Amino acid sequence: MDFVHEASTADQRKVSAQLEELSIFLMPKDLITSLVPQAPSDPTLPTVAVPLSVSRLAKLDDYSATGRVTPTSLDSALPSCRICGIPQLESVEKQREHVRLDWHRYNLKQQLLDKSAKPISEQQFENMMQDLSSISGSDDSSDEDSDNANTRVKPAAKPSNDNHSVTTGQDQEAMILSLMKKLELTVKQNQRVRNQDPVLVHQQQLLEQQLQEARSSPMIWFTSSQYDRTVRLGIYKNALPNKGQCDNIPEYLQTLQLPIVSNKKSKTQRASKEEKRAKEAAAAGTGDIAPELTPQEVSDEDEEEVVDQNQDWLAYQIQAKQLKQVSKPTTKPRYWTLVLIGGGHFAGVIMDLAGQVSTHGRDMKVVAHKTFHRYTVRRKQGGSQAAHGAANSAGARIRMYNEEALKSEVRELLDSWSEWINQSECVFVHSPGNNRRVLFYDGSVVSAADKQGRLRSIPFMTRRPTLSELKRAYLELSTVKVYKMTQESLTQQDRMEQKALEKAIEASKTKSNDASVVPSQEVILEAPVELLKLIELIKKGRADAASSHLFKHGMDASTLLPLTTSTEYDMRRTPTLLHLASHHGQPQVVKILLEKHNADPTVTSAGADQGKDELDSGFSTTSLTAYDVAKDKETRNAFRRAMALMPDNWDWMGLAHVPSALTPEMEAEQERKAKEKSKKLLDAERERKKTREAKPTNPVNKPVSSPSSSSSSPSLMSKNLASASTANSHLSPELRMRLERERRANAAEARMAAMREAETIRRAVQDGKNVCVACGTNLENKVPFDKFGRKFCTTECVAKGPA
Amino acid sequence: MAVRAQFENNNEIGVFSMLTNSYCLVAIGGSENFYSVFESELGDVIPIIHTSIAGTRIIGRLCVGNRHGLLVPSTTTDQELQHLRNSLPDSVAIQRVEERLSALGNVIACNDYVALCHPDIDRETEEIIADVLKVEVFRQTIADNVLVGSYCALSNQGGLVHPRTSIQDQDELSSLLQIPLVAGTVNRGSDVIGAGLLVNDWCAFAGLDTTATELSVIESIFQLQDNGPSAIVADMRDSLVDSYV
Repeated sequence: MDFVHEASTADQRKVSAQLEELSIFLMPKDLITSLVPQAPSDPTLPTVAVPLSVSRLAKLDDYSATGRVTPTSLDSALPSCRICGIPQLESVEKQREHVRLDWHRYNLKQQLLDKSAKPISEQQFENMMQDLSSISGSDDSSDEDSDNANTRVKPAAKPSNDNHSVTTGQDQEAMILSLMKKLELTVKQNQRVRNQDPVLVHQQQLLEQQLQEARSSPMIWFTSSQYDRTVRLGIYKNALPNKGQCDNIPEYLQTLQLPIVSNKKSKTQRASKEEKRAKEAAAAGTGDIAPELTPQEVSDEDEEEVVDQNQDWLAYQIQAKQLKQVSKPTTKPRYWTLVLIGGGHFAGVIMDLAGQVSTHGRDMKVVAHKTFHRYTVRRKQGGSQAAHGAANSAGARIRMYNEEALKSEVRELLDSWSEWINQSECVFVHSPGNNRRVLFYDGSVVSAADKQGRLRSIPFMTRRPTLSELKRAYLELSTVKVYKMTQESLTQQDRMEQKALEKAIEASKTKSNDASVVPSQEVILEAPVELLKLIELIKKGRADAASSHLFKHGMDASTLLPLTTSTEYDMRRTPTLLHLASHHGQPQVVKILLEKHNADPTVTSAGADQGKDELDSGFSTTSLTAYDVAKDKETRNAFRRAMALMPDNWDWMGLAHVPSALTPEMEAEQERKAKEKSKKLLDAERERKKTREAKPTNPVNKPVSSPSSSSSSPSLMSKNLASASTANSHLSPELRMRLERERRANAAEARMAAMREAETIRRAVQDGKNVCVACGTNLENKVPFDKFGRKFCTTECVAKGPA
Repeated sequence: MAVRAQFENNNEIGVFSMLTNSYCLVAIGGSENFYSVFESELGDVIPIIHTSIAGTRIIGRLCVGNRHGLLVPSTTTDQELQHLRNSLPDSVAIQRVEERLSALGNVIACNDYVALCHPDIDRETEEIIADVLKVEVFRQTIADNVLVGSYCALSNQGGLVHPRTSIQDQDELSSLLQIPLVAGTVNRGSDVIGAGLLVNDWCAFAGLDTTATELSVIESIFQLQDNGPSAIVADMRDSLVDSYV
């Protein structure tokens, strides 16, 4: 990210000059308060000025924070209720009591359904309950209602009142359940509405995107109301306490400021000026500094007025530094430690943050610094020697030794600096790979800083560890970055944003157009009762009742039906009453609707206007007219009859998709034709019969009448007869008749024979003869099949059953 | 001691077994390896009962219990109930619960004193929990999850909760339950704590995939470290030595 220093106008040049050298420790108070967190300003990406929700950011980062294993301790865990928005409860008992309340339950439910929902207060909840009880318990007397309220306030009911309190408890349970049901419905409806609002959806997407970017970015960007929108101020997250995971970053920045700023604040309050001065003198501890301080301060005041007007922060800083020089630091010094280690090089520095305040620009006060170098890495090869394992050469041994030596030197040094490091607000460490072991070990000061959450990585590239590199890193970390977007990029960004928004709206419009048949959500939810009844009547095909219903309620048959909440069938397929009737195959209703109520058959399920467009491109499933959804021929004929009745009312052929009219004459003609046809068929049949009977013999008939088939069942026989009759269809009628008679006689004979046979078998079985009960075969030298105590000769007989 | 175990190549041992301070339930039909892990740790201390619930082996998710009692879903057969009654110590009450949310292990998390439950649980069930398990019942969520039993593991010493539980929520829960809590994972990063971890006051069983770091977190929050002789003098003195004061 490069910083635009060449500004187009003089004004912009001034801004950049003012902000160029701004340290995060010496930011003017007004500037801090004016900061608004921004999306990361990458000019290639179309970002918008939707303020980034920092609380959400913090919430997400909580996760990474929990990666460190720090169990909650019971001392620090305060009884609270986040869900009901209670920051602190008096005691654990109170908390437990609270959690059991229905109020808490309601808020919990609400939170689960909609994360962004605000918790309702106890008063609001009570009111809701009251409203509900006044509706549901309308038969209750008002006395009981007040009783209800009493028992609710005091859960410990009197024993005499026990029975009553039980019932009220149940009532309350029912009430809370219905409340929750209601809540669920409203939340779902809201969500539906929100999902349909293109602007909201668009914003949501943007927010997600920004959040993603902000999480991966090492910096937090701000805009300030003191500058125009092109100026973005950036601060490294790692330079902030808590790594910038906080709700109110300006507040954190405030705490970060060196006391010089608070001095200035006190001075602007002229009324309390004298007291403050006295206090400062007291704080300084020595009396002789106070008089020295006074004239300086007085002269400062006038100048500061000017400063404030010009917003010349550089000048302000210089003055602040001068003041600082004079007034001597009264607070204890603040330190930062920076350590770089790698490739046998080590560089460490302790910085005093207050040291910035010096005569010129950005001086830094180095409290202590040290660099080491040892030969530990083989040239052209890289990597630490330890990583290569055993030392096989003299060089390797030297490098091994040096590694150890560097380690002990660094540890010794850090131990000697332990006091400063322990006091440091932040400890910045860059120690890639194995070098980590040098700094982090049991009892090291760096590990201690890590545990206390003061350890930071350096969020940018660093070169070889040297003192100058450390200084550069320090400057980089402690300077407020100024990024100036050019006017063009800003306008372009605005344009893109506008375009994206329009696109989103457009997309949603076309989507809602599809569903425009189905008007709006409100109507959907409250489909009128009479309409529901009408739909029911139509579905049942009660044409007269539906017609009178329509007249009674003065409904227009052509109006579009609302989408009911019931998902019994697809309302999109049947947007009108006519569609409905047609879909359910109710020709009577269709007739009445078309003829009596003048319903429009050209309405399509995709909306009238779209239907026209699609006519050219052929029919699609989305543009179905009532005729298209007809269930059966009779329904279709109802349309065609109506077309014949009033051919000029609608564009039947074109828009209504009805292919042709069906006049009564046509119908009569058809009927006549059909009759003729059936008559012809009958005659043909008769003719055929005659010819069949004329044939004298029928060879197919023989096996049927043979005694071997006497066991075949009557149904089989009739089948044979049928096949025989078809086989003989070519014979003359007389022949066929004779054949038929003969066959019947044969069949009767066979039946008689079978009956006789069965009788004989039965008798034989009754006499105790060893014969098959089905066919009467002797079973003397066979192994019979036994079923239900009866004996059979073969499995076929078993299947056939006894005679 | 925290021990790793596996049920038929599955790391979610909390699904197939259940552990309390006074009994342990294990699913039938597991390998001897699985059972021996429990027997070696608990064998002579508390009964290990081999059972099924409603004919299934996912007993850990279907039932919930503590030192005082055991709740089983309405789908439990009479035979199973009889078997459990015969095997459980007499001091443990057992009760069948008619609840729509029948996977009781998923919707309830408890130790011997408190229980968290799904916000939508029946009021009758809530009363049964309180009566049978002798606990205070709180309707809560863990990291916006309603399945409190799945996403946390509690003992009387401490609790492990879903890794995405915010610090605020942890503090609040910790105050409510009066035990220290920590957000963490089991089974190499699995957030379904309840399914991967079984814990009581003196031992824990985790899935075989659980890393050493995860085990150390478990041991420290549930205070399962091997207490040396010094612990007898320091921490356990009060419970071991009676004094006339």
